[in-house]
Amino acid sequence: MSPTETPLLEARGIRKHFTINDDRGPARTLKAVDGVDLSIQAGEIVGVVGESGCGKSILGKTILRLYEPNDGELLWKGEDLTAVSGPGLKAMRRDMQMIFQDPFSSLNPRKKVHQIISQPLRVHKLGAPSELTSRTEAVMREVGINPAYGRRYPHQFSGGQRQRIGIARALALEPEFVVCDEAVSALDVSIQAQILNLLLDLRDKHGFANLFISHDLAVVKFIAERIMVMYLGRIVEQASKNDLMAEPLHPYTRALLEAFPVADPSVRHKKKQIVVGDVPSPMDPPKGCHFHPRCPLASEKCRNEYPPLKEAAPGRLVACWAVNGE
Amino acid sequence: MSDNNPTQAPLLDIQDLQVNFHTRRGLVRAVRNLNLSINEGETLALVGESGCGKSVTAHAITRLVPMPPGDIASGSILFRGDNLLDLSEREMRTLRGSKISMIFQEPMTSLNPVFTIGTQIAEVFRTHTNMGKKEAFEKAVELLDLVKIPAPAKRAQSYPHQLSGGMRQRAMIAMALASPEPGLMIADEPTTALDVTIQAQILQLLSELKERVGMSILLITHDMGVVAETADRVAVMYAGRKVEDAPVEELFANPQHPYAAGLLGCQPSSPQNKGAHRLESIDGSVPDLLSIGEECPFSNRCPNASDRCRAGFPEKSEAGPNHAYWCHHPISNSGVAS
Repeated sequence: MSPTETPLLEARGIRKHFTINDDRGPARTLKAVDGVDLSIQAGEIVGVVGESGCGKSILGKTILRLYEPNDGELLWKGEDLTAVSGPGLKAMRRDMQMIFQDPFSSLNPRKKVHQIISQPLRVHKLGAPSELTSRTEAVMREVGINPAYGRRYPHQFSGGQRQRIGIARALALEPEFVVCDEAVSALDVSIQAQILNLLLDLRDKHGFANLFISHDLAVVKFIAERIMVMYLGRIVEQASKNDLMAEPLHPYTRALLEAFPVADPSVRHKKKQIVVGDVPSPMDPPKGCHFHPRCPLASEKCRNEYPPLKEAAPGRLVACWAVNGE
Repeated sequence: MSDNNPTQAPLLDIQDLQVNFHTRRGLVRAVRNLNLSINEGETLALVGESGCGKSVTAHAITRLVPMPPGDIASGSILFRGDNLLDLSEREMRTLRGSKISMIFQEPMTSLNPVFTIGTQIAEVFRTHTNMGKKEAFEKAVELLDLVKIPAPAKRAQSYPHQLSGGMRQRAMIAMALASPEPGLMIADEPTTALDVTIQAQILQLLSELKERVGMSILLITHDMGVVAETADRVAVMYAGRKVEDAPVEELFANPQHPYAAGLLGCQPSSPQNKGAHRLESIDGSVPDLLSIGEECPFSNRCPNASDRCRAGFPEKSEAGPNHAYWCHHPISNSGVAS
């Protein structure tokens, strides 16, 4: 990443808060995304990893403006994305697509596959009807679905094939930026490997940037070039994949890596340092650093003040008082 | 731990088990000719992808296969020498929850939402022994302490929805241990719904408890990482058939069946994928169980498949002590057909 280059997408201090107004007392605020900075270069794959409730999916949706951010700036190639609306936003969205987790609920069961895949082309009025067919068939071939199956319905396909259809739909517009929200989490592992390889092949061919959101560290570690670790609405560490894997700095990142089961029985007898306790409710995160109740390094300062995300080493950002000092 | 001591009979011994489902579309042969044994104190991982028959096997052991449409067509399941398939429903009921217990993937749906967890655990004691209410509740609190739930006396008064996912799974485990003599715990994807830091806590707890209580565990999972960290022995299933059975280190170091090797290769966390630009993958997908005849079910995806594979499912071969596989064209040809 050279700093002179304008990032494809940049987010500064993005916040997405929800007001929860149920019958369990007064209205409360859920700070799903609480001041996140992020930048993605063209063609880059950035992984976002975190446990349930950390806000990673909301982050993905907010930077596409599927949720309106409460605060913060979103820049698309340097242009303010939060200022546009209506036709302008629609035009910009042509370049940003999303691939979802559940290949069952993300495809309309009443539409045939070729209709699903060509829908974005029709929405954006791209190409004459004859062109639509050839483009749809081309993108189907690219994701490994026989174009002859275009007249079938989603339920006639397996989970892996359905996910390929979801990918075809996202790529039909040749976007520059794709958000994958747990795109392989619902798949069996042999199919998961096929889809991950496919995503990498397609990225190499088309050069789209990818924000890859997952709870699965092994998957993120495989596919991403840069990794952001989220905990309760905030980024706690950000680094290149190699740096992060070689030496995780934030205690939470270390805990995640340590907890992750490794498919190698010869290393199992190494005593693990397993982090204690549960992830606190995002509705009521601990004061100070959100991780302090589970952190082995927590000090008085951690209990009172949230640490800023600071450069701890070249290209590495960490939000931790113990790592960054005062 | 996993040395097959020939003088000691296995705790559980499944012989030639066949489980079918009669569906509107035809006969689904969910488990075919399965032989599987679990020794005392052993953790056996039953591994495979959706539809391979691993959960159906667990349900057959506990006789919870819904009949109809299910049908245990043949075979025997010997538990400490008794054939579970011959027991009456009443006898089976005294076994379930006492000598054979089960924990599931989603602890929320397997706990009763309208009773406190203390009451639910105490109920197990009250069902299987003639313990009084108060004593049973005290035992429940002890178990909650054993599974490391903080403030167990207070937590025993909680309803399931008041606990986190990890705590609920601990409560389930406590319930599975609520027996004078736990023998076999069947854990069906026990950590799949949990976050990874919580998963690590639960897996560690299970290993500790196994040593402490001296039970055996049948661990059903699709995650080779979980297998590598907890199992003594692994049985790999594919489309209703067992295709390989080996001690855990042996399977990871020296898989013989192309499916077992493929399953290991496509795990992003496996050491062979370190720094790889693409994962090893298995082409195609699992065939429809309705359409599988006598052939090797993996033959349509297998790089080594030949006419022999399409003609019939192979006999057992051995690659070493306790290492069996069912394949005409194994990864290394050192195996001796028996």
